[in-house]
Amino acid sequence: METSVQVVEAPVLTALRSRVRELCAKYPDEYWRKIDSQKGYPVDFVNALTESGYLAAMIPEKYDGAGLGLLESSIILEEINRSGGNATAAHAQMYTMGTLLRHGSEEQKMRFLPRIASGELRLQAFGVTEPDCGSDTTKLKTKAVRKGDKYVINGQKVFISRVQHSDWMILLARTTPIDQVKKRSEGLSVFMVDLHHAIANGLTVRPIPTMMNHETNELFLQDVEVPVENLIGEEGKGFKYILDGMIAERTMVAGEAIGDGYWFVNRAVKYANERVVFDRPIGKNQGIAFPIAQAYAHVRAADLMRFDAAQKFDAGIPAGTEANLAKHLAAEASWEAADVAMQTLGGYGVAEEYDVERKFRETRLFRIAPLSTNLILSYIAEHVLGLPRSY
Amino acid sequence: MNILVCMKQIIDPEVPVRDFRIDPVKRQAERGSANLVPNIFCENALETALKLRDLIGSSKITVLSYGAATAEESLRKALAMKADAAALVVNDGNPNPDPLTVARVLAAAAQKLGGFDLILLGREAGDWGSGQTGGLLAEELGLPCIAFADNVAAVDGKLRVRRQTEWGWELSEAVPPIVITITNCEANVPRLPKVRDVMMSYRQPLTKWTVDDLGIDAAAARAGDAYYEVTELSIPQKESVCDFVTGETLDEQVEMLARRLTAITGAL
Repeated sequence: METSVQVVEAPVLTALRSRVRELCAKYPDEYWRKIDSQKGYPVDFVNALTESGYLAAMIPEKYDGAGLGLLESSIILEEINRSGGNATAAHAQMYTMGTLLRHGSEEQKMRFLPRIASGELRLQAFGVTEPDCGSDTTKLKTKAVRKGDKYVINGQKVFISRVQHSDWMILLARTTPIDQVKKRSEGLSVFMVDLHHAIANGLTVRPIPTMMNHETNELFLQDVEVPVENLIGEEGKGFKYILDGMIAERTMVAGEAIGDGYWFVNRAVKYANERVVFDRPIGKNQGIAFPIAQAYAHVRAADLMRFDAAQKFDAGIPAGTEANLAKHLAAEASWEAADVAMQTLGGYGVAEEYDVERKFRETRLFRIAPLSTNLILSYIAEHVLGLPRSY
Repeated sequence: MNILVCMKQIIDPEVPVRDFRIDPVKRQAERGSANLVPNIFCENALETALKLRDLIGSSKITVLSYGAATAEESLRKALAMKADAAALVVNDGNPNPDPLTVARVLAAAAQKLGGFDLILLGREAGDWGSGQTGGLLAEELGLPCIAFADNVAAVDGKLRVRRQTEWGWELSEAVPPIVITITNCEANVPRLPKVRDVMMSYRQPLTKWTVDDLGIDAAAARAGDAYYEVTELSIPQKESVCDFVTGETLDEQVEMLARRLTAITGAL
């Protein structure tokens, strides 16, 4: 039986939104515009989020986190983007630790989680994708070979974000050759990698310039040694471990896209009300008003699907389908809203001082990452609708 | 030290001008889509109390509001900022009671809560801005009052209060109990609550009363017009007139501008 979606938000969630908005209000458009133009990292903003505990939202109270669910966490990220900010700079600090939390030993959790909660350790890099296997994860070629009390890792990763602003990284590598496993999803393992140590001992980080202000990198691992105690869970089960983290990731990213969508709609409405052409506000023209209304309707619909996914996840109900649907709908809705805002503002839409062009570049990413639209549709076609596998 | 901070919830003063409406019949602002927020000067008062507690320790801070049921949100925020207790007197009468009515309700609630050494309020509310409740509350409680303070410190069993004036600061020492109204300064910018405290604030008890529970004239409190009545309310209309100053030379233009300015300011 389907769990009903909570349409009326609980007062505590409304309060949570208000508190995040108050924090974000200290970082107005000018702040983000400057960071964007410098391709910089929003250090002050991320520090403020850390101090208020938002980035430790999903870490249990036992490990000094806030002990909140996925719904609250996705709302926090939504509000950051809704304010005009860009949560991508720090969102992974909220969910990367999930692999450690669900599959790490108690000793590992006690060692890392309280320090991640305080912000002393930044764990916001997730080394999975490789040049020859983007979403075809099981074909990754990075190898980890055990030698005594260490694993020696060699290989290459690409599009690994926030490495330059992380202290640790979670890395997926093959520990058993693919021709020696029954299923190709077996034989992969997950490691905690000390980036400071690794960079001094065989890890090369090459930044990849992108069209938006997003730090992402190519990684070259040459005989990088990782202590055995940094293996998370059992050797060979890493693929399963990272899959369940993706539900949280997709739902949180859906929150960000929804935040962007509302931001674009608000900016479009404001401009359409204020811009007077031929002696009347342009919003009086249905050619302007209807696309904004349509975009708003789609953002609201994605918002409900996000609630559905998050509430099921928090209740322990399988939510893979809902998380994929939420991420897909939210990414499409935010992109539609971005285009509508750009069209509504006309020439001002491309002017940096109006911020639409910046958010336009940022929100486009959600149709590609952390999972492309095509793969989500493939998942829905095959696993939800029972259509033949397409790849 | 037992500290009471009075808080008022108001329509967000940051609401865009184009969205601000008033109801001329009811003679009050329409909320529209605006948020309801704690009055900023009340938050400055709470921050002052929190800082004082940080310094002297072993103090209890209670927050008190007289307002609509929605004022609970502002009190929950105060709890998230680490106030110790909260009480709300739900106003089910005149939604905009005059300051004397508010002072009488707050005084009765403060006495029911009991035993405060220090009562802090914002210097004024961001909606009506009358700035009278603090003084009237002191009068109702028979306590001294210092207005427009921006710093309160505890020194040798007394309170040292710094007050902003037009010509600088006044420093006073007072023996509790006392009422102080707080204005804003760099040192009392409200702190951002931690997310865990935001969530915890909704699990904490919150005392709720109506004016019937306070042993006061409930009918008069609900009428809310003991002191003054708003007879008319309107949004000032701004008119812009463009006036070109002419002249053959720059000197002539400057002279004409000076004459024009003199004429305008003289008329004012």
